[in-house]
Amino acid sequence: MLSIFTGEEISAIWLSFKVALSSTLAIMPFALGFGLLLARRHFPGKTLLDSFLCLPLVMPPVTTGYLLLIFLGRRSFIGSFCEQFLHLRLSFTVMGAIIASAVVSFPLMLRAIKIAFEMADRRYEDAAATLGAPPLWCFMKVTLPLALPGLINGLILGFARSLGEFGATITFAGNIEGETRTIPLAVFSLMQTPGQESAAMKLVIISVIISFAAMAGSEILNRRMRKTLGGE
Amino acid sequence: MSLEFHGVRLPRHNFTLTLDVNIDDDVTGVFGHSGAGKTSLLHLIAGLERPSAGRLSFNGRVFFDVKKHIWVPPHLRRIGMVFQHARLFPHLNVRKNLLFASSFMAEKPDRKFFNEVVDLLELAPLLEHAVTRISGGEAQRTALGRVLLSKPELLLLDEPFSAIDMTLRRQILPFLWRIRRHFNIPMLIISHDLPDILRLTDKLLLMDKGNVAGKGSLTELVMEHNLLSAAGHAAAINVFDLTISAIENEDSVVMSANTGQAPKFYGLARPGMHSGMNVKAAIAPEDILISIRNDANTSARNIISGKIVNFSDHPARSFCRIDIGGGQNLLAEITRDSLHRLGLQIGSEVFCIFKASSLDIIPDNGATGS
Repeated sequence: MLSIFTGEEISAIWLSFKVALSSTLAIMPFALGFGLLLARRHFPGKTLLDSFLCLPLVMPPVTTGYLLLIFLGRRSFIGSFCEQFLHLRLSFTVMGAIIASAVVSFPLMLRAIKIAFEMADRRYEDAAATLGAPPLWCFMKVTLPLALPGLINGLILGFARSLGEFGATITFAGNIEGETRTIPLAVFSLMQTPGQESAAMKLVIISVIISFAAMAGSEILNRRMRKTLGGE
Repeated sequence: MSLEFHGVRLPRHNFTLTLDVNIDDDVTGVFGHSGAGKTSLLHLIAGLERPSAGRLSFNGRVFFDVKKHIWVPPHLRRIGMVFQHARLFPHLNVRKNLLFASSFMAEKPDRKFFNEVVDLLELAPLLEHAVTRISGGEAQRTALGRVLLSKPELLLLDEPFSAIDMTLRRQILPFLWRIRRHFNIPMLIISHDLPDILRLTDKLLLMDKGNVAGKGSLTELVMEHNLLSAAGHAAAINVFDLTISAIENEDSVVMSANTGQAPKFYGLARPGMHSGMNVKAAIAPEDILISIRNDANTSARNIISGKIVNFSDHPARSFCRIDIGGGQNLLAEITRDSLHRLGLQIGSEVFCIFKASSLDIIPDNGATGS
């Protein structure tokens, strides 16, 4: 089965999953926290924070990657600190690919999660409180279940966005085979090489299948959630 | 129970709710126009809204005191609330909704209490249903059961009938009577429909534009306060607790109160009525005819003699209160013109005449139910 793929292709597919999964897991707690904060609390500077966090959504990914190079690159303060004391190079490594993916997919996940919390009707929380439910219990047993379909949607959107990340990754993490060359970068490289069109097509098809599976999976999950939530 | 509001202020967009009142009747109806501040009053008691000033205590426990920075959060107050729309948790079925509170309560309700509530509210056939698949009336009953199982010390009902159509209201009211009799929980019930409240209690709190406009029984409010200007038309109604003593000529029921020399009332018999049954009978003041002679030559079945206690003189409508014996009063509407024509005064003997079909009778299931 594996013999139909070249080593290069397998490495690209594996790397894509590794990067997307890592970035999704890394940003999930932040997206949940900020999503809840933005949906439920009123504080000065809220709109500013919201806009700032969502900036990578509207900025061209290449400029995001460029900014990452400036702030996290080898010659930056943070970059040199990490390299000197933690022996961790951020730019042009797998870590860089994960960071680029995370930064670009974060706003997408945040927005979906924020909307999910906004849609979870607070009046149910009031009802739970008058029944004597402590706030944490209220959150775990009422808010979270009500928001769950939207939260899962957010995670899948973030994951899918990570899988497709190109601009910020190639700028900040480069296009190094086995290190940062994910599926989109591999397709790009193959397209640049004469005679490799069919190999590129193969990766494109794989990419389509993965995306389709992710969307279908989220839809099935959503439908099942709705069923357990009782209809409408 | 004793609910004490001291200088409580809660700014709303169009007025400031101002409360300085003691509520001590076990069942009190809160009545007023929409936007009079009724729901905000309940939210203040439940802890769902924070006042800008003042102090509230319930049975000696301080719920909030703005000056002393005291604020008891809603989940520690033990105040149950039934909302306008049932607010059942959509992700839980009826049984799990009912048992919601039991998962974190210190003293969990036992199986016996659960069954008691389920039986009382006739929820047994619904237990495994999804809450999105039950009717409005069933949802309100489930909400009532859910709140009872959290063992509240006070029950707040925010227009529990408004989402339900007229015929279903009739079905919910008896459940409230049952709860009242069976569990003896104090209640504060909001409605913009006065007849609804009066079927539950005669003790009223009248709200108008964020203020308490009056407190007392209906007759007191109609006579002493400007109830009707705040309440609008068709608000006043006479309600009597009666027991059926006989059914005559197949279509007519005879009822009387359990007190000594109480008058007899006649109403239309409906299937299921039997003698010994407790009912609530209501008659609107405008349906009552006042005569100074006992005119037996009329088809109207109810001819009740009494003495005029006093008159109310509103610009819009005028009423007289008539003592009909047995400690009961009847409120009848009469034009000023008729007052003069008949020469009525305080103490005048009159006959109140109304048709059996005008009397609105609801079986009071609560008394026989448990």
